[in-house]
Amino acid sequence: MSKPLSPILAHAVLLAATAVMLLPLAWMVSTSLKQSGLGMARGIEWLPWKDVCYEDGGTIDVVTLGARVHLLPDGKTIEVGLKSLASRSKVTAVHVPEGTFEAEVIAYRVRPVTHDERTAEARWAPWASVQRRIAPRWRNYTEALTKMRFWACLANTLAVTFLGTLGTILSSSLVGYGFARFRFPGRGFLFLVLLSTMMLPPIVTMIPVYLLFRELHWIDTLLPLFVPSWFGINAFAVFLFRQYYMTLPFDLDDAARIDGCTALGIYTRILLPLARPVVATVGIFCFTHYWLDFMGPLIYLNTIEKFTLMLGLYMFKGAYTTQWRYLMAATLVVSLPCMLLFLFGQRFFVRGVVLSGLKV
Amino acid sequence: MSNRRIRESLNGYLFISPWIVGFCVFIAGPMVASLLLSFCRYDPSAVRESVRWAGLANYTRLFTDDPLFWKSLSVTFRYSIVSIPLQLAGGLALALLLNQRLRGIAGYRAAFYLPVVLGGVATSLIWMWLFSSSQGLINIGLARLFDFLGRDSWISIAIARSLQSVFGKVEEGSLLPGWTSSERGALNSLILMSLWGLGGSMIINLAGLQAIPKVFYEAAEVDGAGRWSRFWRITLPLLSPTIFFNLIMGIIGSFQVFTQGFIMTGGGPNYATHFYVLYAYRNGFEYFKMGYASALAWILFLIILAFTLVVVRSSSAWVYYEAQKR
Repeated sequence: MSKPLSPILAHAVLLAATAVMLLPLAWMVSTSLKQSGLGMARGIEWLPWKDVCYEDGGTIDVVTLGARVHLLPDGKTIEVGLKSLASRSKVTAVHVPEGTFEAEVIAYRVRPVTHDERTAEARWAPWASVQRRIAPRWRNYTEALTKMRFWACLANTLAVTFLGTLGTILSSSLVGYGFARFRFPGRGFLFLVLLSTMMLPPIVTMIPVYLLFRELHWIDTLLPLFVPSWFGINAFAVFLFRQYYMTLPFDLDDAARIDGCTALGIYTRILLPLARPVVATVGIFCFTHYWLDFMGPLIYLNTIEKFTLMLGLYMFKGAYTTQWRYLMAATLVVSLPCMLLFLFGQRFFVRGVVLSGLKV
Repeated sequence: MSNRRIRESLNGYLFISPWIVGFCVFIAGPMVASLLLSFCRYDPSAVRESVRWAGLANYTRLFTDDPLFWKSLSVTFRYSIVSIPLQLAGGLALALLLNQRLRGIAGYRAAFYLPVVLGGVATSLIWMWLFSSSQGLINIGLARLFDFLGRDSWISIAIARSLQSVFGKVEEGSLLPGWTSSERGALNSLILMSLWGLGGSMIINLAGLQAIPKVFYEAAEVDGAGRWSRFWRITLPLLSPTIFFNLIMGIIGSFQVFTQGFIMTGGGPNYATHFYVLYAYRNGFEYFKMGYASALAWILFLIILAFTLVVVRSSSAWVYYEAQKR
């Protein structure tokens, strides 16, 4: 690490860049908490507002549609849409096609929010009786999750992620053990073949593999998504295990053999337990890989009951294409596990990336 | 061979046997099958399903009679040619910025890497909403900016013109860019979006930077080298293996972009984001022309292989290995 030219300048640059990177995430959170009637406002609104109207001693929720304003320069009274108002104060600038004028708001056009989806009659309410309040709409989350059938999708994703990750760890640690600890004819060549499969675009094998699973009647089941992982074909994982075993001294194996351990026993009792850091790294990588996999589910799954979260989210987007508060709520929930895993397991993330980047 | 050696060999084969089976069933076998399929006509959705040998027909049609093949190839090339250098330079710049001794540097690094763990689907949805031409955060922000500067002021018009030259127009007469909804701007918008994932190459570069022994810098400082020449003469050469790795991964990844085009634009408008893998996917799994899709897949494989080989061959000229601790 180098010393910065000027710490203050460095912080300024980094803070600005971080803000830009995190802005889309902040906008996602903000959108996910908004009330209906989005897009009625002029400008960017980060906080989830709700309008209420005082009436007969109580308040009711309303959506503000427009306003009747008194133009200050010439005293004319006009009605404008809400988007024309620059602010919600009593005296505000109003943007109309003729230009921008100072104006005094007399009344707002409001429509009460009904909870049974019926549209209520819009009416005029005096300026003072309409107020904005910060009101995050938490129900967006429960409603969005119900609509996208979140729990069913979650069960499928958990199954695929768990079985895929477990399969990769077990099979690649076993294959890595074979390559690291035994001498056999063709070892170097086979290892090279294994490494070169990392370069192969999945699209090349996709169609025959699909046809194979179709012959097995595995289409529209979760099996095609995780079964291949049990065959040690994740070259990167095998590579990491093999490299790690190579750093462990052979004396360990010899001592165990003298104590009567078989070759399999050496793997299960000695080497695999010692390879815990690689298990963590490979595990975290596989978890995010299977959690985020989109093309696999897209190709193999047809019925809603079988959908994984990513496919469910994609289908949800197709059905609720303009309901962004629902879409953003669902997106946030679905992405949260990987974000949390990253924030708490950063060490292993970084190690995996570093190993993949520097030793190939 | 002694008995012990034979036993050792057998054990070795036994332990790697899952991979041997997996390699044959899921990689080598399917590769041969898809190569053969690429010379056949095969529609599994047809009433009387049949595989018919078609010779070079698929390939002839691809090259002589399929404008969409050329279109998706050129879209993918344009995406790669712009996004790979941007990723390389951006990832390096970011890594240099984050390789400083500063309070809270770990937090900054985490923030930059966070978007990478969201995955393609979530990223696509978030950016669809940001890019929305009437309600999106970016266009609302720009509209406010133009209001503030005055819609007819020269500076508003200059900003609008330069943005619109890259990202298209919402409609005639509007000052706002059209982003993914305009034919001109869609591909560039997706490239812009790909920069959100810069954290991926940043982390690798950062690891490369930290592997450079400090003595080099200390020696250079003693010799009176400034920041600039230390960067050009120490950092860049010693980081070249990392840049090489990022370049190879960038080529392999960017030729296979799929999710953004599939989810955000559906390949449009007017095929402006019709990526190659999207076209292969549609042929295989939407039109069920599996022979044709296999031919497409093999051509992509050969293209990626060719570019990778060119880069690997050229590496002896620009990748510097000696001082790297291996």
